[in-house]
Amino acid sequence: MNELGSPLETFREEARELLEQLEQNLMQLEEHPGDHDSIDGAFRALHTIKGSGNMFDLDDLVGFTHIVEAVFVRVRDGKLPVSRELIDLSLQARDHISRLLIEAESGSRDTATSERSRLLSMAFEAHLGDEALGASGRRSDEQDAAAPKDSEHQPEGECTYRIEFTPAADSFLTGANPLLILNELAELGTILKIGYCEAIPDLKEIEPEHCYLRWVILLTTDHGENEVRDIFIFVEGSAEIKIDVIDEVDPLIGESGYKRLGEILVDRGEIERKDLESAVSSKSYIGEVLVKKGFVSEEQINSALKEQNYVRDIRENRRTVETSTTIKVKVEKLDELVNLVGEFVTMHAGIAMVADRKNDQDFRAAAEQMEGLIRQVRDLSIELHMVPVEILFSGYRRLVRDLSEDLSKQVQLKLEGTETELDKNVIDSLKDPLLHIIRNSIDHGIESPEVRKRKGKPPTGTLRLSAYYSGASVVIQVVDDGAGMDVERIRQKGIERGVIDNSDRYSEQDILQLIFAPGFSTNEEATNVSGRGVGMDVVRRNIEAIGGSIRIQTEKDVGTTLSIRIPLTLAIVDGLLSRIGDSLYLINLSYIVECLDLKDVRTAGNGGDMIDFRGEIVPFLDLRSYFGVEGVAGEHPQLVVVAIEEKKIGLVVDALLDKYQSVIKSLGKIYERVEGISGAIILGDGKPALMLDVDRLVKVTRDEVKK
Amino acid sequence: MSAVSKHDGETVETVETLGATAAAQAEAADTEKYLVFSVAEEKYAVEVVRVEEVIEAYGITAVPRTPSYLLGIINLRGRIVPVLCVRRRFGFEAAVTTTDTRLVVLQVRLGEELVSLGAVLDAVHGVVDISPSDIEKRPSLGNSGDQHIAVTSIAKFENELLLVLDADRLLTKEYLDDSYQHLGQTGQTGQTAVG
Repeated sequence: MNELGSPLETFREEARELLEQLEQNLMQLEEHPGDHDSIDGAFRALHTIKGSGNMFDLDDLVGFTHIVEAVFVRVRDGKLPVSRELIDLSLQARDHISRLLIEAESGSRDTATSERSRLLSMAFEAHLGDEALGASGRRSDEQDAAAPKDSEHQPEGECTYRIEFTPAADSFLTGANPLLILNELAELGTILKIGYCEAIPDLKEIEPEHCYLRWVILLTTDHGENEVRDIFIFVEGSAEIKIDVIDEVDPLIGESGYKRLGEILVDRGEIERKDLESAVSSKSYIGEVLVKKGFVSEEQINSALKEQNYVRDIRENRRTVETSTTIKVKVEKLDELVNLVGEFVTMHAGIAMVADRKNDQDFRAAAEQMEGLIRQVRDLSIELHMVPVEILFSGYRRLVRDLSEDLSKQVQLKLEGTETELDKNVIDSLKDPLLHIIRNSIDHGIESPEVRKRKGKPPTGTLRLSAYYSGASVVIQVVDDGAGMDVERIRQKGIERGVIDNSDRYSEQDILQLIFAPGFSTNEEATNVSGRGVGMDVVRRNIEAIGGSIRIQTEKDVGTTLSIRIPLTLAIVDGLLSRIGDSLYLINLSYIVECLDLKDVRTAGNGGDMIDFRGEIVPFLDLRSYFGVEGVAGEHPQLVVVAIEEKKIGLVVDALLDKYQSVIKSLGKIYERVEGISGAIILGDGKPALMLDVDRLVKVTRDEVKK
Repeated sequence: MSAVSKHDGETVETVETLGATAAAQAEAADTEKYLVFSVAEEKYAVEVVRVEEVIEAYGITAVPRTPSYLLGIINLRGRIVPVLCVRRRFGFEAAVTTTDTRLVVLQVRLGEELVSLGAVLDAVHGVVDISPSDIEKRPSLGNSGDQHIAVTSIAKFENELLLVLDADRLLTKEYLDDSYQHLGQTGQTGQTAVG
C-alpha cells in the first residue's frame, strides 16, 4: 500500500467521488433520458477516471472505462438513445469500475473480474454500432487516436472558434439576414464579432440592397463544430464560411502558447507567410510594418489584435473558474474552527467591556468594527459545517432501484425538502439507519404490482423521503403507500414473547415501538433483503445516539410513515431574542407569524384566555407565569404569534430585542425533561440563553384549551 | 490555596494540572489527592481526579421549570454545563454569594453517561493528600434529600474530619426523575415515555 496522501491515494479518493457522481447522473438520466447535463456529467466522470487511471498505468481500468466512455460519446452526440437497458448496463459498469479500483488498490487480480470485464466490454461494444474501436486494454492516448473521429471537431470542453463569414452580396434579397445568424451564434456561448467595413463603397455608389459587410466572429462554446455550422445552414450555398479552432484545452497538453499577431493573419489567409517573414525582419511593430507595406489593411490588423486579446481574456476567465472550485477539508478541522470562533466571540465581548470601561472613543470604535468582522467569521464557519440533506437522500436512488428490481416491485422514489440543511456529522450518522428503514419499506411495505392492483392501488408504489424543520428539530420522514403494519399481529407477537401483557393499557404507538426491540420480528419467512425487525433495534439505537427519536404511523393498506426527529444540536437557527424577566430566550424565526404589542390585541373567549388575531380566535400563553418568573412585566409586553403546522398560539414576553443567528447546543441529560425549552445558545458576551421549544409550547397550550 | 480560573480563560492554574501532579505524588507517597471544600459549615473532600476545574460562580443562566437545586447553565468555553447548588441539594437554605463562593466542575456518572456538572459551594480550601488508611467507610445514611446520601466515608486529616463526597451520588438519575415528577404534579402533562 502506498502511504496516505500519495498521488495514487488522491486518485482513488477522486475516482470514488467520480463514480458517485456517475451514479447520480445515471439515476437522473433514467428519470429524464434526454438530460444533457447528466449525459455530459456521466461522460466527464468517465473521461476523468480514464485519464487519471492512465497516469498510474492501471491498464485494466483504463481499457474498460474507455469502452464505456466511447458509448457515452455516442449518447452525447445523439447517436444512441438512453434506454433502460443502457442505464442498467452502465450501472453495472460503474460497479465494475469500482471493483477494478479496489483490485488496483490491493494489487490482487481476480480471474472472475477479468472475465466480467470481458463480458461487460462486449455488451458495451454492441452499443457502439458500426463505429470501430481500438482493442480494449490499450493505452488511451493511442486509443484516442484510433477512436472514431468524425470530420467535425468535437471538443472535450470549451473551445474557441474563429468563424470568417462573408455573406453573399445579394443575401438581403434572398432574405438571409446576417444579423439573425450572428444572434443565433451568440446564444451558443461567449462571442466577439468583428465587422469589416472596408468593402463599403462611397455613398453615391452604394446599392441599398447589397451586402458589403463581412465578419470575423470569435465564439467560445462547448458545442461541437457541426452545431456551429448548422447555424449557417441556409446561407451555406451562397456565403463564404470558414471555421477554425483557435483555442482549446487539450486535457493532456493543456493550452498551447499564445499566437502572435502575424500567425493570426497567416491563419486567416490575409497575408502570405513570405510577406510576413519579410516584415518580421524589420525592427518596428509588425502591425505598422505590414500596413505600411500594404500587405494588410489597418482594419485587418485591428481585428487580429482583437482576436489576440479575446483569447487571452477567455483563458484568464477559465483560470479563475478553475481556481474558484472546491477544496476538501477534514470535518475535524471545521469542528475546531467553530469552537475557536466561539472563543473568539467571547474574548471580543471582554475587549468590548474594557473599551466601555476606559471610555475611549477610538478603542470603542475599533472594538465595534471588530465585532462586525467576527460575526461574519462566525456565520461563515457555522455555514461551512452545514450540508443540504440532498446529499443523503439522493444516495438512496440506486438502492431503491436495485431493491425494487430484485423484489420485482415497482417503486418510485420522491424526495422532498432536500434543501433542508443539517450538520454534516448528523447526516453521516443518519446514513445507515435510513438505509435499513428504506429497505424495510420496500421489502415489507410496498406490495407487488399484482397485489396492489387487486387492492385498487396504482401498480407503482411511492416511497417518499422528506425533510423539514419542526420545532427545534429536523424531521426526516420515510413514507410508503404500502400494506401498512399489522398492529394486532405485533401485539400478539409481543405477548407471545412476554414483552407486553394481555392488558389494553398499551397504545398503538407503544405496540408499534415493539418492532425496535432487539430480535423482534413478525415475519415468519424472512427474505434475503430484510426481515421486519432485523436491524430495527440498531436503527433506533443509532438515532438515539444522536439524540433523536423515531415514531411510526401506519394504516392498513394505506401505508407507513416513519418519522425521525433529530434535535438541532448543531444545526443553525435564525431566531428572535426576547426577554422574560431577566432572562433572554430565542424564538425560532421560522415559526413566528407576527409580533404585536399586547395592548393592541383584544382578548376573547371565556375569561379572556384567548386572543382575537385578525379575526381568528387563538389561545395564548403568558411565558412569565409559565416559567414562574416573579414580578410584573414591563410597560410594553409583546405578543409573538407562532404557528406549527397551521396551529397558532400567542406567546407573551416582556420585550423583543434582536434577531440572532446561532448554533443550538443541547442542554444535556440533566435538563432533558424540561418543558418548553429545547436547547441553549451562547450570546455574544459569552452568557448562555435558552431556546424556546415552540413545538412543545403550542401543544401544551392547545391541550390546555381542549380541557 | 486552590487554583481558580475564570470563565474567560484567564486561568491562574487549573485543577487539572494539579490533579496530574497530585496523581504522581500520590503514587510515590501511597496517598490520594482530595479537593477540600465547605458547604454549610461542614468540610468535605472529593477526589481530585473527578474535578475538571474550579472557577468563580458567575454567569449562570437560570433554566425555568426545574427543581430548585438546579441553578441553571454556564458556558464553559463553548460547552453548556449544568450547575447545581450543593447547599440546596443537601437541604440547606441557599447562601448569599460571597467572594469565597466557587463553582467546581465535576465529572459525574448519570445513568450510563459521564457528564460534567457544576457544583456551587461555599468555599474551596485546597488540595490535600490523604492516605487510604485515614479514610473510613461508613454506610450512607439519611434520605435522598440529605447530604449524607452522597457521603460514603469519612477522612481524618490533620485533626479534622472531612466528609468524603461520592461525586456520582451528588445527583442520581432516580433522584432527578423524582424531582421532576414532583414538579410535574402541578397539573402539567408529563411526557408519554415509550419503550
